[in-house]
Amino acid sequence: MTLTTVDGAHPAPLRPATPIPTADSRTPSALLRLAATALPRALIARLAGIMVRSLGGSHPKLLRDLEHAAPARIHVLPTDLPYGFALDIGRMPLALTVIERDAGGSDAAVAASVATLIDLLEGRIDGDTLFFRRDLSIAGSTAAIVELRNVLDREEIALSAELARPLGRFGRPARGLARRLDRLVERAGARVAALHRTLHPSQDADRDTADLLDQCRTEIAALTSRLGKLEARQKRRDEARA
Amino acid sequence: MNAVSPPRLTLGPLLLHWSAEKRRDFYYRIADEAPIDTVYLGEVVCSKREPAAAAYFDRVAARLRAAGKRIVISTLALVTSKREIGHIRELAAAGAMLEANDVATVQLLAGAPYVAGPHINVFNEGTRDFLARRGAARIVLPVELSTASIRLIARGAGATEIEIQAFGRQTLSVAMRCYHARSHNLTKDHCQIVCGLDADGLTASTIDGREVLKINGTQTQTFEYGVLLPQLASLRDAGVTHLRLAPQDIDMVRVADLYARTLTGAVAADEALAELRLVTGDVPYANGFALGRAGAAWSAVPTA
Amino acid sequence: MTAATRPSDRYLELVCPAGTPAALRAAVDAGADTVYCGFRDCTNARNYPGLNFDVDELREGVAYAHARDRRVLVAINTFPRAGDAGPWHRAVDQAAAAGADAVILADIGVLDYATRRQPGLRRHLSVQASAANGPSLAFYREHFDVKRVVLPRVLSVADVAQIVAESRLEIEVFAFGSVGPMSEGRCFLSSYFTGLSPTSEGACAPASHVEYLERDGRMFSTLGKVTLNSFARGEPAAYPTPCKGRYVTHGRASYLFEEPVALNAISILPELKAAGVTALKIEGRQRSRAYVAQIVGRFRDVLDALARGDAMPQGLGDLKGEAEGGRETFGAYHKGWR
Repeated sequence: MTLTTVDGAHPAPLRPATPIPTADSRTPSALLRLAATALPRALIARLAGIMVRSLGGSHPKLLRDLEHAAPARIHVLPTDLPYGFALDIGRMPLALTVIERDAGGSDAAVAASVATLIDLLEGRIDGDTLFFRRDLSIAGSTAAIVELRNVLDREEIALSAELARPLGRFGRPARGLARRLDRLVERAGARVAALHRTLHPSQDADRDTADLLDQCRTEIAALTSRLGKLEARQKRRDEARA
Repeated sequence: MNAVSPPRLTLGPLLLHWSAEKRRDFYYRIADEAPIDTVYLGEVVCSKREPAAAAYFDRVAARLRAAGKRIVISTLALVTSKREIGHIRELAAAGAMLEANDVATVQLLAGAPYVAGPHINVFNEGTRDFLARRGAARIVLPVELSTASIRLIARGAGATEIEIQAFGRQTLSVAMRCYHARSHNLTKDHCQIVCGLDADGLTASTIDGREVLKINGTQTQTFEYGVLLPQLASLRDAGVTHLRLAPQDIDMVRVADLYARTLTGAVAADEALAELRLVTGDVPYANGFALGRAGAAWSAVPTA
Repeated sequence: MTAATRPSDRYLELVCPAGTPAALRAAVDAGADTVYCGFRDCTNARNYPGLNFDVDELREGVAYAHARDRRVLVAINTFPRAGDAGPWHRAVDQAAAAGADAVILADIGVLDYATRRQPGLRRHLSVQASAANGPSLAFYREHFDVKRVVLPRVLSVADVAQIVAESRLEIEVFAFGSVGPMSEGRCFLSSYFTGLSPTSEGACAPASHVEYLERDGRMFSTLGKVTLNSFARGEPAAYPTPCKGRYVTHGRASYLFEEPVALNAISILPELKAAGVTALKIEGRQRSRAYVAQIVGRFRDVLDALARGDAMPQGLGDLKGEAEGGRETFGAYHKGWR
């Protein structure tokens, strides 16, 4: 399948090795942008699974609509990630898996930056607007993408809540982790924004960025293991209940 | 309902813009030679063309009447100005049989008998019955309807006659804007009547070179000639009372003659198609709407 | 949350689109006086996958709006196919049962049904009926007692003023959103390309027949395999509808019917008010709740300022960022459009 090119209207003036989003770093989605761009792929895959399972509890109607949509495999391809997602709608259970960017077998594909995709999912931006501006591109079955977009827009989704909720009574520590990450992102954001303002990044700036990235990676590694544990405990709890 | 007697042929209003003389000669020949029951005169597309129709109107009408043809005056599809409303009011007051292409005309007729034209959306029995109760002696169905829908509407139409366009380009849209003018970088208010430059419409192609539409002033039409020859038997069985031939810049007498002979069974549908090709040149045909498919689609297979 | 204005204090009633329950709440919260929506089927002219309301959602939406003193209208504005009026009749009955404040109808048969079977349910005439002159409005008022008419997007402000003066009906006009240049409810272009009728199936350029292809560095949009348009990298895009396609005439490709552009009448609201208009309609049930919130909020701010007698606020009128093709127009409101 051919995918139309995505043209960012305003390319970032500074591109660190690992992109760190800078805009609006106080919002939960800033955390998500960071998580999506910096978390290891295996963890992302697990988070995707958690989120889909969580949907049944938080948005049962939405889940039902997605499961009863016209069957389609939709590839969601963040332009600033080395991998993509495959979402299977119109089947039970719904499935969200991590895929290679060039994986075949999809009925439709949608591509945009991570930030744009999260804004779209959380209802902060209009899909048609993105299309008119060429900030989002689609290929394959337009009907599948339109249906997915419309169904997701039917209810208010907060991605961070979707991730925290399934952890049940462990959700609180998860939210604590989220807050820590959020602060981290905020710091990172402020620093990178400062770099932008200097217009001519020096070696110091590069070092700052590198430090920042190292710091992020350490925190993320800790989070990964913490989340893995929580997930395992939750799973055991689910089994015990069943 | 008269399912046994074949539908009669009508000549729809001239949608293209021809000079007064070309119109006169065209209608004289129709009067003298074409096996047509009803001729629709009058302007549907743009009131700025009306002088060309008015020039020989009386003589044309007299000649058609003398030849035994019924005359119906078609009215505008999109009525907005006071002058246009005034014109329809005058026609209604004069007692002419009108084809209403806008609900305004129905209202101005105040219950007098009329023909509901193809630009009034009669898609179903409910609308048919409402209009029939208030003066619609004949309903010309929108070109978008499938033979399945036409059958349902014709069945149970009672005394109301049902007409459908069976030949000629199908009008796909009407607008306030004049696309003919726009294609010449002009506006409607200063159009220089450029629609008169294209006696059979202006071709619009896709950017990859496929001829898809015809521009006719404020109208957009199919590039293909709509040809319902493969549907004639089915429409006849359905109780359709009139079949409309829309004037194109070709030998319309021969087209009428061909349709008339197909209706009486003198010529088979496939032979008729072969003969029609000799009249229409290389313009492609379409009957997709009748088939319930994309309007541009074409099939020569007779509809059951 | 912005409070709704009482009808008597209103500068102009703000009528806003909702394709989903979330968009309905967003519209109400952003200051819509009235929200319009449709059922999840072919009975309305925005029958796109995943969009619109089931009966329970409509009831909940009406409750949400009424609790905040707003109104909900239900668009049942397509034309039933022969032999299949059931869904349209059911939609009228269900709208009444759900407590909708009015139905927006186009088909004469459906209007007749609603008038006879739900006489207490207020009837508006949809833009799909394409009623653009005094006698047409009189027809719908006399036979179906419609209280309001949504005028087609083909009239100048002067035309609108004349119709208001003649008709003695509430007049609603479009104030923002995509512009269809064709006479509404009578355009068969999309079904000519696809076989699906906007008129009776409710979807112009149905997504099932739209495809985007990349070729030679350009994005091509096709409808029913017919190429409608192509866009250079970064060039603002249009909806894949036939009327926004690029066609070649006289050897030159152009936007023959209409450029990709959105109507924005925000800066001529005083003119529309002076013309005697009752209500402003925002187009876009196919758009997301983010769009709804933004456009409605902007119009609310401007209307509130005008209601206070303030001058037209500066800098609030520009909504190009959300517009089709990234451009805005006054459309037919100004004479030069024709």
